[in-house]
Amino acid sequence: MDMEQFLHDTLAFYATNGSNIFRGFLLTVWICLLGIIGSLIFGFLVYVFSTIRNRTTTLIYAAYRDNIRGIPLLVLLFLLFYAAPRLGIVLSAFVAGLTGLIIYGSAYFAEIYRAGFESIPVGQIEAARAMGMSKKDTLIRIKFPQMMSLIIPPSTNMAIILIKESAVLSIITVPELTSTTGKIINLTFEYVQPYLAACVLYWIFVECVAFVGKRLEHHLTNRTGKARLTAA
Amino acid sequence: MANLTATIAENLPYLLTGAITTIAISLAAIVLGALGAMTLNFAQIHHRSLQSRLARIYISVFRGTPFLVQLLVIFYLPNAIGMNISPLATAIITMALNTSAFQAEIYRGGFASLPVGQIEAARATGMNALTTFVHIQIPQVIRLVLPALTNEFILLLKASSLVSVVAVRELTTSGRQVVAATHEPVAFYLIIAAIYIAINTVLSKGGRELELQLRH
Repeated sequence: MDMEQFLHDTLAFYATNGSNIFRGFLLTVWICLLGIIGSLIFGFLVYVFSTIRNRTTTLIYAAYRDNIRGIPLLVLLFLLFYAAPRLGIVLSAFVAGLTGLIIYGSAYFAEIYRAGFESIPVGQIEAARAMGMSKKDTLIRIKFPQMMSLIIPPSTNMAIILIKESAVLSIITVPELTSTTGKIINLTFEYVQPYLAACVLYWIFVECVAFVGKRLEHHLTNRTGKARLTAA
Repeated sequence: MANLTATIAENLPYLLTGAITTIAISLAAIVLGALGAMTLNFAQIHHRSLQSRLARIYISVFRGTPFLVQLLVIFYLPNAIGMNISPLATAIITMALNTSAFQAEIYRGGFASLPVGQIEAARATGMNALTTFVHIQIPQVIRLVLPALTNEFILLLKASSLVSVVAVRELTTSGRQVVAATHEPVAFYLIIAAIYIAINTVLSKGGRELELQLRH
């Protein structure tokens, strides 16, 4: 098989199957964005819950964090998709997949928030309070801006991990990128082109998220950097 | 209820055999991956060389694509061109290739964080490059990378659940088979989850213990 023939075949392949692969890719993007935003929000709620200093809540938080981080996403999805209906909770593949991503991601995001908040020196907060700032002002003007630039790099990392983990949703029949790729392979018996497309599309998506993360980090550190300069 | 208990007792040994497979393939992959990571790091010593660029591309590809896709590619491509690799071998190879990219980055970070002055001092006192590597760099790097390595081991063990899609009879596969036979998804998936949690707890506790041991 010469190169020209291969290129011709590849183009012909993408001309017929490209739209299906792209549809799978769009679903991957959609479910990942929902999953990332959902776990950012739910993870924050879990973090807030963890700040309640109480023996029971501490215990519940530790159990949630360690258990969710201790099981593979696949097993979590099996529990949601195959076991939950027995308990009367029937979820569609999409909803089960999204719920799985959010539960899984939130356990990691909660720890990222905690690390972010805890890395701000207590002295700063005391100083802000001593200067007469209210608690709310301290939170919004001192804690939040610094925490944001601290948590962006690990959050970007986690978002990328979630995107890659989302391939697992194909096993519980969510028609996303990996799933559509598999279906096309079963129909066409072509292996190289579909997988190549899937890899490139995942890679583009991951690079885009990494780029957004970098820009956001740059933007936020610049702002806090400037704030620091004017304060000095 | 008594019925369910009997079913669980009957199938538990099968699940535990699966768990042993899970541990074995993860262990094999982490060791092979460490060798791969070393190779990748040696390839990157000279920055602009061809092998260094190839190593960067390898790392970027394996860190940038989902493990499941890597597994499917490595499972189906050799078959498509007429090569036959057993599912078990495919699983271990893919896991090793995947973790070698992540471990390479871990070791690179470890070596980079050692002050250059130490290596210069070792060389100045008459140690050769090998002795410096074995007696100065390795002991410190092991201690530095241990937490990240424990973490990688846990992630790899969790990723190993995906090799169930290429029909390797590890923990998740045995769980699916038992569920298919007994129609008890709730009990058995919870047991599978509990076994994973138990293994990972032992791993993270063991890692922390080893860290404390090495500190002295």
